[in-house]
Amino acid sequence: MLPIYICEDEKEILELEADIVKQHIMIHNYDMQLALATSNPEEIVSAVKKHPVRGIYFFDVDLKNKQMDGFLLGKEIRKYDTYGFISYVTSFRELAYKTFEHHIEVLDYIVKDSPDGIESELTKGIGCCIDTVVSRMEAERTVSERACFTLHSHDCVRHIPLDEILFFETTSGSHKITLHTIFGHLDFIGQMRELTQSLPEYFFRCHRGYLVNLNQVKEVNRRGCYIVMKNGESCLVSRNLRTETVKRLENHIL
Amino acid sequence: MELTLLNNFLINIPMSAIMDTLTVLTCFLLLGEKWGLKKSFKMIGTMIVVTSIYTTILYQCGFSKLPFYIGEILTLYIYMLVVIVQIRHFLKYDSGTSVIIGGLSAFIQYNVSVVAGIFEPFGMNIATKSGICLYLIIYMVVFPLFGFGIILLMKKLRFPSFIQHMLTVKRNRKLLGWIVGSFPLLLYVPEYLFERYKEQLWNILSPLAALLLLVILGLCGYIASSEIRQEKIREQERLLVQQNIYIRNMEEMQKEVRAFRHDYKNILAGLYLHAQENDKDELLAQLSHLTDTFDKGLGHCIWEYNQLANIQVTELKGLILIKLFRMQELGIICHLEVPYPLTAIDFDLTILNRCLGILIDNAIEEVQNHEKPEMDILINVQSDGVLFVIRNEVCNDIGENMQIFDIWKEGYSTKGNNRGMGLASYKRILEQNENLLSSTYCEKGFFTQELKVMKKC
Repeated sequence: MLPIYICEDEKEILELEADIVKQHIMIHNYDMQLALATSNPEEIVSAVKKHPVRGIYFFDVDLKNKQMDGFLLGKEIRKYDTYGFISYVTSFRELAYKTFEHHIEVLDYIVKDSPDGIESELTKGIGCCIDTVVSRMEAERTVSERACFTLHSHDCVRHIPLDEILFFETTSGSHKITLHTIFGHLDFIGQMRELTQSLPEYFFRCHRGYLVNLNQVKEVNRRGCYIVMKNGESCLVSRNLRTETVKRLENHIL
Repeated sequence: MELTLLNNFLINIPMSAIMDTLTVLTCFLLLGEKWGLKKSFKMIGTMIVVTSIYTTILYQCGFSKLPFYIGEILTLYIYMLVVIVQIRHFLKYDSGTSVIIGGLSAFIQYNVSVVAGIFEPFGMNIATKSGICLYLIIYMVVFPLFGFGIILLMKKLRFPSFIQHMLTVKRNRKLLGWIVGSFPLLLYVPEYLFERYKEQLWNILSPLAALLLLVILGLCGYIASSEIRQEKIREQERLLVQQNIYIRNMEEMQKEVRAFRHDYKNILAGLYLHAQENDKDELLAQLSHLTDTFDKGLGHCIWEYNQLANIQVTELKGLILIKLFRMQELGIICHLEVPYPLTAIDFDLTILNRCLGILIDNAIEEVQNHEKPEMDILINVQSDGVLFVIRNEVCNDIGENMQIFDIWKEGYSTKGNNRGMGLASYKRILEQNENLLSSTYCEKGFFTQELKVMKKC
């Protein structure tokens, strides 16, 4: 049973949203339940704290509560429910709020900007979100979950699928590690040794400054001094690890 | 004891080892480069080999006996050249910077070695045993102490930051280049002139070198500090321009408010009438029209100013204002967002502004040819620092064909050659600053550049 939480400070809209959710669950007979619909974000936090299970959340962005707006609430919720589905309801279509996506992992945005069509917008948006949650959970059940590298920094949690990772890079004497993925790169603070231990075996430390995903290697330079990745970037190989690198690669491909 | 080729070479090795180490240290200091053990070992190693070989050869060829000190001058020039090539090759700086920094550090340490020579008694002969001992004491003990002293002094006086500051201005680069290039002449020509008249009564070279060293260091310091003062004045002027832009925009908003105040009673009256007549359809249509126009006009203005008001760091606000103004001129719609007040940043603001300037300019350059140019800027205060996010849409063909890491290469740009310097220097700044974290990715047609300034623990 998935609990659903709603937080919205406009009373009429709160009731409207609660009705829509209840109706949608009933029509499709989903295994869900409206756990709490309130205008007070603290109530939501304490409720989730009490029963920390995976849930679905619909939050208004501009809560009038001074201590906590929708995004801070989302961040708070993420502490107890890392894999929950958070959606936002907002009245501004053109907000750059989307950029928050990567920091709380937001499922969707529902825009309620035309006063005459608010009911239809909400019905469509909320319905869509719930359906996405259902299909996503089914997908998770059938396909074995895609292994992810989880990055915790103080304020955000990111899940990066291991098969998108190319390599990690660091410079000596630095705590800054750069993660190179297919889509770009990402800096974080960490230690290479801990990383090497926490990742699966096909991540190979071929150099003090490089931890390479062997699945993503395109070729090794003939003298074995560096590895070329599938996107064309290259990683150094330390002198005394050259033969081992080649051996590991051969074993891995076979 | 005969000074054979081998002996000469062996004597030269420790001497050049010390000199080269000091020179490389000076280079690293002046460049503000982080001290890398491997890099410096490579540099010092190659330099020791090269310098000991060529000094030996020059000495054996009788270069030092040439008139007019041609031999010494040439040796110094060659030494400078070696250092310059090293910087260019190992640290990968552009030629201009390499020439200036390399020349300067070579000259400083050479001068120091000459100054150390003041303890050298007259007529010392390195072909005798006691002569060699004295030579070794002077050049193994006194000279390195002097050299390190100078390096510490320069560090204490923040000389490197002066030099780096000078390097950013083209005119200064030229000037520095000329000074550096003429160093050997400056050192040896007076010596030659004096010698002719005074018949070498005392060793004039060492005091001269010391004087030259002081003059050069002082001159650089003076130029740089006056330059910094002027920069401050320019900064003030820029701030004034920014204030003007701000005020002008505020006035425009004021006008909008006045217009709205004028309108709203009429509109409300109309709504009231429709409500009285129970004309629900018309009422709803008017209401939706009202919210629409409000959102687009005044609502947007108010919202944007709320965001700007949240940036309470003047320098940063200035940069954002100027960029917003430029985007307005180019017809780019920018969604700025600063959800929480930003009161202070734990970082050098000039460097940060430079980084953000590069990132925003990148996005502008990419977006300005789009049909509907848009950009998002987010400044988010977090518990462990401040996050800047700049996001723009990319054309499909670029997004798919471009290898994202290519943009980091020097001189790479999607708009042709020689325009991608920005990102390369951005990368250099990132490497030099531990508490700057960046991430760049291209996903679902959006190019996102993030920069996080971590709080210092």
